[in-house]
Amino acid sequence: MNTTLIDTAGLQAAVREFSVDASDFETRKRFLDLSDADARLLAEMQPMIRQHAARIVDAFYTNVEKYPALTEMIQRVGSNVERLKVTQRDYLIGMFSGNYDAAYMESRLRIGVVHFNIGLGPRYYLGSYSVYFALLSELINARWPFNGSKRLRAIRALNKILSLDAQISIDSYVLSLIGSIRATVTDVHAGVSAQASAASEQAAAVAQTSTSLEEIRETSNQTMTKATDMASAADQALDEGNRGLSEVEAGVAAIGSIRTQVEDIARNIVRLSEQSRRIGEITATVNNLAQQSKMLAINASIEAAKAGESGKGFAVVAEEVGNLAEQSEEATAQVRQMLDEVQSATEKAVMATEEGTKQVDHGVALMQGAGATMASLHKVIEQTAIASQQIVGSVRQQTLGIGQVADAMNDINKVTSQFVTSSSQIKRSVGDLSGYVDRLKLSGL
Amino acid sequence: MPNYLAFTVADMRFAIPLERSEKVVPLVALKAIPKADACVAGVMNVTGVGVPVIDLAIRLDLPEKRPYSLATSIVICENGGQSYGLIAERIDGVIGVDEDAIELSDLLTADAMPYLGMCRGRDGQQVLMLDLDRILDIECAVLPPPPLEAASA
Repeated sequence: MNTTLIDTAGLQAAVREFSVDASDFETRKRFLDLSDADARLLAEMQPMIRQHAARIVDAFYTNVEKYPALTEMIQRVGSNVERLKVTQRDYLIGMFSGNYDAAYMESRLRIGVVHFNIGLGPRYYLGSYSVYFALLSELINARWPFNGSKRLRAIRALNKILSLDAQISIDSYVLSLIGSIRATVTDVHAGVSAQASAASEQAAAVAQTSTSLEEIRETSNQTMTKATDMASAADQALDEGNRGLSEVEAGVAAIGSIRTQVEDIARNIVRLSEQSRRIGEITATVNNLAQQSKMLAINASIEAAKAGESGKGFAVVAEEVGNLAEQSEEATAQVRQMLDEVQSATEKAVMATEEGTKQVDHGVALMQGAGATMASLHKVIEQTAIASQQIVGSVRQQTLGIGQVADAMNDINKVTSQFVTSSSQIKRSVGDLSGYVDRLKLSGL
Repeated sequence: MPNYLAFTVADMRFAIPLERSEKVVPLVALKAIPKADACVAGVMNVTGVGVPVIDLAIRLDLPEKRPYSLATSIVICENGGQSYGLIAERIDGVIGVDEDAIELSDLLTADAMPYLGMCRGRDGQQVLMLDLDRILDIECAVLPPPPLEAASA
């Protein structure tokens, strides 16, 4: 037999399961009533069998070759009929050894394991035993044609040994099947458990992620609110900045007009000063004339006095002229005083306007400085407004993305819990299967 | 009644005989005369003639000496054919003097006092009548220089 077909571990497991011990074996034989007498009888038949073995085996395999499923199987396991025939001959001959002990048991067990491994179902090899029975009973009939009772005993012995073989083979096939199922069940169980625990872990991780996502969502909502607030604050600041700018411009214009007015005032003052200077010149001239007139009058009165009587009228005229001159002098003195007052007043006014102009210039400079500051502030506010709008946009995007991730997480969560549920179901089913298998084992092998 | 020309110098009223007064001119820049008497303020040009000008405040050693303003005049008078100028702060005009009303003549003409006496002006104020001979005589030791070329009147 092809040794690779023998799963040594499986065989050993089967052997263990099978509990190959003497008591069990003896029980089997007793049940079948396979006595020592039967054993001796079978041993007696062995030479005959040996003689006909090849023929029987050929007939056996002629039958086998009728069935394509079997020939396919033989090809699949890389064997051929000739090799199998050799094995079968040994098998047949061994069946009539007369020595049915633990070694015999083990060899029959082996057969069952191999059959399981190659997938040869009970249908065919159990069927084989009846084929063999037909062929071998012919031989027995031919051997003792006249000894009916011996013939009967021989047939019975053959039947028993065939039954024992079949029994053991079936048992080992079933046990291998069980073992295989068990192994599968264990694997599935382990796999499901691993998956279930992995799924639980995943569920926990997903739950954690969902929580974190919720926190992130909350935070991003807050950020969005803040960004929106900032954007509206920036808009307000922009409006105020615009107002401020226009106010500054108005202020600069107002100051500009003040300056123009002040300059006009200054020009008027200068003109006034000029006119009073001219007045001063005129009064100086008048004063000069008055002085000369006075002098003239004095001299005229002197001459008039010297002229005596004839000069009296002249003296009067001279005195009048003198009086007029004096009045003139007084008048010009008053005018002079008034001009002095006007002069000092205009000087003060000029100084004031100069001060005013200086302050206006200062004011204009301040205003222009304020205007520049406002303009740059305006720019900053504009940029802030734009930036905050961008922030709002990107936060919205983020929120959207987080929402999608959260939804995906929820889906995963659902799937995972479904998976956990179905894994439990599988576990239960596997447990049930294991139970059935146990029952099967216990059900009288 | 003889006429006198009255004028004021350093708050004091003086008068000189009208016949000896020529005219009144305004104060002009005077050219100083070195080595002249202290009372000679300088020389002025009157119609091409050099006229020495006397500061009466110094000549009479008046207590209220003070600098002169542009309103000051110079009274041109003559003495012995020579014209002289007397600085007058204010010309009070011509007054008629009653010779009988002259007061304190004895006191004021005593010794070398250059007064003729005291009379009353139009407003009743006391007016000292100057003795021109004496006033202008005393400083006759210094003769005025020839007429000036530069116009100063």
